[in-house]
Amino acid sequence: MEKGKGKGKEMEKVKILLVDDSTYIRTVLGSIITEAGFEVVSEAADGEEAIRKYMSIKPDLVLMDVVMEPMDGMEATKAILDKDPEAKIVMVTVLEDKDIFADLMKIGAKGYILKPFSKDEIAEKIREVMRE
Amino acid sequence: MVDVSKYKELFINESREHLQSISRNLLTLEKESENTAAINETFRSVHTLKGMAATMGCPDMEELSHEMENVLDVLRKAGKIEKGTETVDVLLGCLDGLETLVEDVASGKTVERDLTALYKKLDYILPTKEGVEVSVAPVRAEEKREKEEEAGRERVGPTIRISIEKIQALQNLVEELSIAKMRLLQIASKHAIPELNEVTATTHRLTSELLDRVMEMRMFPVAYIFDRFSRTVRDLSMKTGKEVDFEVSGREIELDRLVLDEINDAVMHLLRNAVDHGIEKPGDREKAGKKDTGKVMLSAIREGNHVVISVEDDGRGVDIEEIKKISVERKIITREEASRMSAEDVYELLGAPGLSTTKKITDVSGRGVGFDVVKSKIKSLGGSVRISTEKGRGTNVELRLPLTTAIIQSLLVGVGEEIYAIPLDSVREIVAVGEEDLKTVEGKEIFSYREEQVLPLLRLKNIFDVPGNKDKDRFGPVVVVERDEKLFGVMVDALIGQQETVVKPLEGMLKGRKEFAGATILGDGSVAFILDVGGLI
Repeated sequence: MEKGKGKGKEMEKVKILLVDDSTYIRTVLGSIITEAGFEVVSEAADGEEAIRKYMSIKPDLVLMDVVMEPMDGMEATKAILDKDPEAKIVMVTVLEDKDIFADLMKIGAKGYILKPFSKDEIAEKIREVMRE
Repeated sequence: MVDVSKYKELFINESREHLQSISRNLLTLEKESENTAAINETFRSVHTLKGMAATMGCPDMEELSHEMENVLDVLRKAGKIEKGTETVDVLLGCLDGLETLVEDVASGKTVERDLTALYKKLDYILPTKEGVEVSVAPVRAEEKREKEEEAGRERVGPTIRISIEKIQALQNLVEELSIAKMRLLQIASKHAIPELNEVTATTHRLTSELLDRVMEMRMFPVAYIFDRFSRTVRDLSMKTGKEVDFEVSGREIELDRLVLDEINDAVMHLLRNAVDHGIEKPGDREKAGKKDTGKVMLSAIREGNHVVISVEDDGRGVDIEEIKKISVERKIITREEASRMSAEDVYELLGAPGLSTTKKITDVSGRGVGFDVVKSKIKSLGGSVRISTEKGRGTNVELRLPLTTAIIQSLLVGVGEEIYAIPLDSVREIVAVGEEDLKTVEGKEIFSYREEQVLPLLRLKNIFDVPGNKDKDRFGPVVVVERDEKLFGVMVDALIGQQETVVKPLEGMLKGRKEFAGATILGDGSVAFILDVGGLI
């Protein structure tokens, strides 16, 4: 396990893995992130692909959709944290159910962003999580 | 807010894909109310649409998909659909609503849509609205996955979207490249330099492969259009009070994406005909000793370089004698012609413009409305149409389409100084015709072919008035060609050989010429016309 991952990243761009089953959402999110000065290193369309890409790329942060197939974002988050407890995962979702957010935090997600999102909101959340 | 307008096209395309998937799954659910894979997939598509709508800033679409999602979430947890058809009906209504909203985005207009009727209906199937909470807790993920694999869900690697225009541009370049390659081959063959031959051979192989790959990119599964038709057939059978079992096969067969767009209306038309005129009302079916539920089958199969799409029904079929009678009344054919006509010829009549628009024949035969339109559309794509029908038993219409219209194999023939290309698809064989085989009947030349057959003979030289070669009666090889199951001979001066031909469409004054299907550039840089054999007679 790489301890202290994400520290000392001030000089470098934060590398982000984007996970969403919608190409449209990935494209919009990707352009926002790039404009905000971060780097999208890779994209995935479901949980399994997300785990695989996370393990090979080791990005600084993951933006993860919740409802996907065959593996959803909850399962993928659990699996990634299982392999790398330091992983920084932020959920991006349209769900409004408070219980779900409690669950998301319980499994170890660092936060969530609601769709529709604004550029500032996303940039702020990423900085916040990276400061931890 | 984020400026999302530049992603509009992506949004619309992806939304349409989801709408289509929802439609397909809802129709499955109507038949199999406990198909959990279909419920889950519908839920997910609706959920994704909601997220997309939120991001795009489409509150109506977001809300409607949100309400649908609530209903679907309950169904998902129940693992089945109660009140099957009714629920599916309401959800299909909502789907139409979503479709309208997506098309509003596409057209760029801001339209006020009143969706309260839809919400009321949704409320009706799900009265306990307050108590419902959407949950994303995995529904026993393992089991769910297995079921979906059973349902034949395919997983594909990462993909990107490329507009067909970009592929077309790439293809044009590759085509130019293969023309340059042919020139190179020709030059190399003159000089016999081993190293040069080696390089040209490699270039030849690589360009061919490159061309194949580009063509592959244009290919799309027919499911792209087929999946919409389930809905058409369902709605139409409900409207006409008929019971129809709609079977689709060969969804995975691929065709050129542009060809798919072109044939959509034709296939839709045939299906409408099948349900509207082919299939009888349940009572009539019973009297005829058939099952109450009629069958309409839509299938695609690959046959060599062609894809055959067939629309088959087990309805009342076409009454050949009746069509003959009416065609004579309408003066489309004479009484004498009618008596000589075979069943095949009569089906041909169905495509005749004068016949197809008459209301009377529609009532009697149940066929023919706009069939000529279907036929000319398929012909314009280089395909052919075949009908077989039996009174009381049903009808089968087969659309035979070339995999692609861009590259064909052709036979190059010489006439005087000119070179023409005959598509190899339509070439039956090449024969030598001597003076003793030739006869003139009513000013037209005919020749005997394979002993018992007599075919019309056309001299290409005369058709195109090719200069040179003053000797009018000279005999050259005869290419026997076939079009719509009719054979005839085309006499040329010389056979040059078989070649991969890049079809370039004709423009300007030449565009309307029915004799030509296009033009191509030969290895030496000269231009040759590609013949449309159907247009020669």
